[in-house]
Amino acid sequence: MKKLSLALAISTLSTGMVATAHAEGKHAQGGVLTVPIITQAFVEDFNPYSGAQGDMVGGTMFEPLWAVNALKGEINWRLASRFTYDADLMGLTINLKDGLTWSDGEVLDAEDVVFSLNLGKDDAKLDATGQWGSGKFASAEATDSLTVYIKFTDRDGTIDWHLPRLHVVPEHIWKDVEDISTYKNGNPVGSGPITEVTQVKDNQIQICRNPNYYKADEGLPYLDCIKFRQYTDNSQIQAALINDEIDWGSNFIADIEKTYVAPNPENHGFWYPANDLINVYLNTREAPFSDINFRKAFSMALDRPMIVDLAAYGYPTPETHVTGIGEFFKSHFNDEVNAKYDYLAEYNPNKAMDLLGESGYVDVDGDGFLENPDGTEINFDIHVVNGWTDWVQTVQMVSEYLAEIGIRANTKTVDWSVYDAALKEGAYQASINWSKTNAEDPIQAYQDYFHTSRQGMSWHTNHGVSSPEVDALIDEYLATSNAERRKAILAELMAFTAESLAFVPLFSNPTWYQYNATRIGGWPTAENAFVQPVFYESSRKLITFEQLYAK
Amino acid sequence: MNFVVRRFSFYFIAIMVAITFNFVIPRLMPGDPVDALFAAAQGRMPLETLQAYKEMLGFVDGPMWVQYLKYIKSIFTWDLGPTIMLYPLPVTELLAVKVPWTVGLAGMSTVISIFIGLIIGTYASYHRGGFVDRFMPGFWAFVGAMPQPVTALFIFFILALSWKWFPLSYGANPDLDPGLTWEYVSSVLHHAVLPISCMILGGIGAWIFNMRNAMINVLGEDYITMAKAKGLSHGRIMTHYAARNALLPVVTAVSMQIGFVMAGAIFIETVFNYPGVGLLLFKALGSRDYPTMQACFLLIVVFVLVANFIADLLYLWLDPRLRT
Repeated sequence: MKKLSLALAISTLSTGMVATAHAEGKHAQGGVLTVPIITQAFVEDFNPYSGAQGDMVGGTMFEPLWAVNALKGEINWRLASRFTYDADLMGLTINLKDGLTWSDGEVLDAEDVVFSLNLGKDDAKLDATGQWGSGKFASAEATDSLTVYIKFTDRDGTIDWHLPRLHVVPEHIWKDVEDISTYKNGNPVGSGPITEVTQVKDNQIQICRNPNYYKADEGLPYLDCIKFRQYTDNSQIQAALINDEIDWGSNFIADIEKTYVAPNPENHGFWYPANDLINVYLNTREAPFSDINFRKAFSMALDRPMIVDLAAYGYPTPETHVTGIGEFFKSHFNDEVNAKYDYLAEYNPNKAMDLLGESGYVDVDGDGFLENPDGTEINFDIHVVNGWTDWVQTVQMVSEYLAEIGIRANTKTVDWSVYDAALKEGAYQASINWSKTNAEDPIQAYQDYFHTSRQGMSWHTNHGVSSPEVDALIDEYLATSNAERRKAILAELMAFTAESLAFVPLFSNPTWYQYNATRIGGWPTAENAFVQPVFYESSRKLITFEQLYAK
Repeated sequence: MNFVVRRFSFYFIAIMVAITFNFVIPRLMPGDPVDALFAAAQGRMPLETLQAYKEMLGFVDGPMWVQYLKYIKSIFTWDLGPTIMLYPLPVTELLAVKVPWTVGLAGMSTVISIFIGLIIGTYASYHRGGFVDRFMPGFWAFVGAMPQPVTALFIFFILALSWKWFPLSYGANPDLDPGLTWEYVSSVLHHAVLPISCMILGGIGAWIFNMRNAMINVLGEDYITMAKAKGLSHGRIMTHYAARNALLPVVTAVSMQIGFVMAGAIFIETVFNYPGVGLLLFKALGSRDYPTMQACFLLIVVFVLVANFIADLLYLWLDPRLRT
């Protein structure tokens, strides 16, 4: 009898909760979201700073100060309500929201933020923003319980791009932890919508609603729990998606229309918005790449939409500009610059051949392939990593298109370590690689392409094109907050990129994203594009999760 | 006793050679774990973190021989260090979760395939030229000759993905709590059906041939003729006179087979996402996780050698001629 009355009490309690939630939020509360994570085994590790399970706790258990939503070009305020730079750009003030609490009921205030910021000062592994390591931060302090002030060592208008990567952790618990990088945080206290761990197994972890969530009065989160399931590779996730075992995929799925969408077109869907730009980097120190006309001909020889269709299943977005940024940053495209150089990204083999002819490339020995103007043979390798099949196919197609205009190029598959070193040291002839074109601001891409300080560190800088003027322009951009000036600098950099053509853009990588609307609604789609739906990035994961509800 | 000591010292040397190879071979592969981590993330990781990671994982640890001595010490103290894939989880903890699944999988499938294989082999050889003798060895040789990953993928696609008769992955339903409940145990068995069947399909042919060949030799012996002359039943001659003596070479084959079973487990566990050592080893190779890789190899080597040692001792018991 006692048991029964208890059960009754619980059921009335829970229906009561649902009813009130229904009155407040847009959707009723309840439901469990199942997502895959690729790993060998789950462990009881909820430390956002540990490499083991950062993807599980970032964002949804530890909220960022704010989230940058590049797709909408806006900031989504989370723990903070605003930030302001000093007039001289030598410091930044962050204002926290009032009334924040941790999931154990303790108050979340500026001291917690400062504690978390200062972790990176002494230990590079905990430097989530990377700004202590780069020497940008001079100090961080709490000026009152809701205000944090960060002092810089130099003028900088870009710090707000990096702060969303900070994991704000509770000082009252973490201050007693001896070695934070190996701390397991088995009984986590967080600030995000889901913090309560209800199940830990080596192949499944379930984390549920934060009882003290600061957005509870808006009825958030709609979902009760996230169930993380362990898989060891893509192919298993594909099978689990098809069988409705998981709701949210972020993986490559072969022939997705047929294997995933067709069996259940009403609920199974995918959306692959543009991500970073993929380029073929050319080593301009060596012939024939030292000749700008050769590079131009290279670019015009390629039929990008065809490469995308045949080599990459049609999922990427073909690039139509040569200014160094892709669709991801389309809000920053400059029509004037594009109009002048877009012809270089168009498929025009005749023009390419004319250009080569004019520049003195002729087939001297009659083997069907052109020779350099000085009579030496043209025969180069394009590097690609062994096993990255879509890129290997892409490079093979590039070689075929080049052969059509009489250029002999070979696909060279190499191990990652060889590829990595060759790109960084500039020891390649041509090499396909991604670019830094999916971060917070386009300037990061140009910094990565051209700034001499990145040489030897980045994969994208050692192609032999750089100039002190470009370095100065990039530095100026980073140290100003004047929007007009920034736009002018970007235009100059775009023109420089197109003029120098140190790399030939091919297409923008897709963002891998599949959803299953059988149980869960509110998914971002091409029609409802409120965020780039990336699971492996805590801010965008959080923005997506907040809109999901049980059907 | 002399025999035991001789065999034991042989196995000790074999283990030492194996663990030395175990140390050297992963290090001959190009690239290190941090590079592999970067490659897996397609480089989307801040460059500044690289050095910190290298230090954390101990890759600035000085010359090879120092690393080797450390490695030897770690093996004998069974302190195999932290994994790289799941840093800072200790390798031994990870293995402890995985080993039971593989032992179950490999053990069950070996026992079942030996059992079935021996029966078919015995029956076929005793009734030479009959239907079983003409049909079974050829059929199972054909099945066994198909590459195991292909068989496994085929079975996975039809029975698990298309018909949904069996689960797609894991060793048991993740929603259930482990324990000796009917629900959990039946879930474990349900999950094991396909992987075990695949391993049996690949292994059974070898046992039929082993047993059949050994039997044919024995059946030519005088004491079989003698037994027949005494008028004993066919069943009795087949099992008690022929099969018993034919088992001796088969025991050797069992101990050799353990190594192949482990190799098969790598494919099968990968296809069915079965949480065992084979899958772990496969993934550790991909991410250049030396500590995990070495621990898996070590485990397999020890497993095979111990199995051989047991087979030797078993021989001693089965064949009295060795005892002198």
